[in-house]
Parts: sequence; C-alpha cells; structure tokens
Amino acid sequence: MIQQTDIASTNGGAEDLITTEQIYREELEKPQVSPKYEYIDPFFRSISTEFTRETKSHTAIIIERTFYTKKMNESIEWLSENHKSPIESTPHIQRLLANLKIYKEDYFDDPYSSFISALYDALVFNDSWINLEKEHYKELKKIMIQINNKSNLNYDAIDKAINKIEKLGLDSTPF
Amino acid sequence: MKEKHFLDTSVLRPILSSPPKVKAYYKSVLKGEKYTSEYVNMEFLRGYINSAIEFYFLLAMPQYESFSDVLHIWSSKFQIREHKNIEIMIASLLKHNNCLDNKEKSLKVLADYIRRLVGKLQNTFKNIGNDSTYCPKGKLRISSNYHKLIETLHSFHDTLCDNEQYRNCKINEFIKQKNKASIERIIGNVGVTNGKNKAGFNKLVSNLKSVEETKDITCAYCAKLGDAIIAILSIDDWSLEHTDYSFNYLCKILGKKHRIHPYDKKIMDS
Repeated sequence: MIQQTDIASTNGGAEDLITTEQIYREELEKPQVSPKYEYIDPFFRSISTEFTRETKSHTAIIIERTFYTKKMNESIEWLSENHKSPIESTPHIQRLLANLKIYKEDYFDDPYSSFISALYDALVFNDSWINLEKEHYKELKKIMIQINNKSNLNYDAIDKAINKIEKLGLDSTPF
Repeated sequence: MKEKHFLDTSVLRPILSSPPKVKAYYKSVLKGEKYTSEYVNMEFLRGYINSAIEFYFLLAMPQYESFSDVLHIWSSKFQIREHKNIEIMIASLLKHNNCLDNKEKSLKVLADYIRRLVGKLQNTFKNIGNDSTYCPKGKLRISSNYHKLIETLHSFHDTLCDNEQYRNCKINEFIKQKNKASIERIIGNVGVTNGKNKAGFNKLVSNLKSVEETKDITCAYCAKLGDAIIAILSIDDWSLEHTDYSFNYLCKILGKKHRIHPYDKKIMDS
C-alpha cells in the first residue's frame, strides 16, 4: 500500500514527479471501490449521493491531496523566501489562492478540504492576504507540512491546524 | 497583569461569528485573555449552532430550491433565537462561495462552516476552570469523518435538544445546594433598586423563585436560569463581558465586575 509519507518525503525532483504521476495514473485506472449498497435514508439521498457514498479509494484521495498540496507549497515556499510586498507577489498569491479554491470546491470528499476551505476564506475575506508578511508565509509553510504529513487525518487535527492559522492573525470564521 | 475576560454567550457569539466591524470592536476592547466555560459553550451551541443546523435541514428539504426560498419561511414562520444573526452569517457565507442559487453547494458549504465554528469554539478560549454545573452539552464536538457529517449534525442537534441530559450534569446541586445563598440574594434583589431595562432580570427572578417548587431542573428549565448561572460562575475580579441588561443587576447583587457592550446593530450603525 502506498504510504502518504512516502510521497510527501520526495525531494520534488523530476524523477519523483514522474514516479508520483505514474502511481497516480495507475491508481485512477484501477476500478474504484464499489459504493456500499447500504440503505440510504431518502432524506439524505435527496440532498446528494455524494454526501452518502464513498466514491474514491483512500489511496486516490491521498494522491490527489499530495499533488495539490505540492502545488500550494511551491507558492508558499516562494512567498516565505521572497515576499516583499503584496502587489509584487500577486502572481504567486494568485496561484496559491487558485489552487486552494480548486481543492476546496472539487475535493469536498476529502476532509483535508475543510482545512483548505478555512485557509481560503481567511485569506480572501476582507482581502486579508494583503496584510501577510514573509514571516506569516514561513509559519503557514510549517502548518501545511504538518497537516499534510498526518497519515490519518481527522477533524481534531484539522481544527488544531485551523487554530494555528488564527494565530497568524487570520480569521477562519469571517462570516 | 493582563485583564481576564469571562465571556457571556451574548459576547462569545459575535467574537466567533459576526461582521468584521463587530469583530474589530471586540478586538479593540477585549485585549486580555478570554475565558468561557462548559455552560457558556453549551448556550452558544444550543442557541446559535443548533439554529444554524435547523436552517441547514430546512434548506435540505426537497421542496426548496435555494437559499432565498428558505429565507422567507425562516424569517416569517419560526421564532428562532439569533435568527437575524444567522441569516446574516449564512447569506454572507453563501454569497462568498457564489452558491446562493446552488442548493447542493450551499448545503456542503454550510455543513462545513457549522463544523468549523464548533471546532473554533473548542480550540480558541481558555476554560474558567470552576464550572460546577458539569454540563455535558458544552463539550460536544463534531469530529466524525466527512461521509458521516450529515448524520453527525442530526445527532448533534438531537443531543442539544434532549431535555433529559440534565441527568448527566450537576445543575440541581448547583442551584439548590451549592449556590443557594447567591440565588436567595438574587431573588431578594439585595442592594438593587428599581431601574430601567429590568424586565429580563424580573423574569429571571420569577423563574428562580419557582425552582423551589420544581422537583428537577431539566434542560428546558435550566435555559431560563442561564444569566444567573453565568453571573455566579464569574470570578470576582475578572470582567464578565455581556450585552444583557440583566447582568447589570446580577453583578451588582453578587459583587462581580462586569462590562456591558452594545448590540451588533449599534456597532454596525456607529
């Protein structure tokens, strides 16, 4: 079984990327885990079938998560080393926000998207991203690595990670 | 030494969930450490979170297509605590996520946000450490995996509405034995003359008087005594932060330090 940490600990070189992509494609070509044919209360089913059936294997979720986190971390890495002013950093901030938004909307079946959603809302609401300094991005990088390296992600860990975002001066519940 | 603030639910709620101007106000005036207790947390979960969950399930009903369909029913047909604040929160949340007309996305976003609020409640504030009501509802969390989130919201709501949970707490001992002297002082209005905005306090006193005739203080009855319980829990030289006039009287009687804040609307209009 592919361990998440095996993927997360790659050095990000071209060889590692090819390996990860190969694994990704092989996994997606495999027949997906059959949905559980349990009785689903029509009350819940009327909302959406996505709410009540697992449609992806755990491994597929982990691979996609790692893929996207790598893209997000590239932006955060650059910002943690080079950020001087928000306007100069807009290309990297835009890319970070775009990846956050894709993940929070398209990967709702991964609990990790709960954390991504909180981060996105905190950055975007009231244009809070404008107020972040280099040191904030350094801390954010640590938070992202810590949460992504958890092999069994649960909501307690997510809430603790969200609390760390709050300590950067961001508001994860801005509504 | 930093001032210590014990938050009543009326201040806890806007700190967690309110427009930016209101949050900025509280950030500017509450500079010290902020504390809650299981009882205060329970009031927030019962009053605000549970109402948000009820809105969620209203929106989930098959006959409604969107947020605007539900808003009319919500506002006109139901007497919900915090209904206006919840409307504002949900409208803002769904607008930010561009899903006011997308029911499925609205439900996902709202379920996740409710979960996030509960997590933030449990991770943000320090515990006052003296809450001898031992209310189990104040410790509730939403920790299940995503695929069971909807069922979890269902059972979370049911637990908060369960009137029999008082069998798992010490509210009867708290009111009838441990703090009997304080309750008698409140009933006797010791040191308090007539003043304005006293209707809430008078009603509380009436409810406290009826405790003697009550065999068991159930969850429903406890809900009528909340301000008295929180005032008793407040530590003498800490500042009890609130927006309710009844605390002006309660804290005077009990000799507790406190501060009254304006309602959200007044802050927004200022």
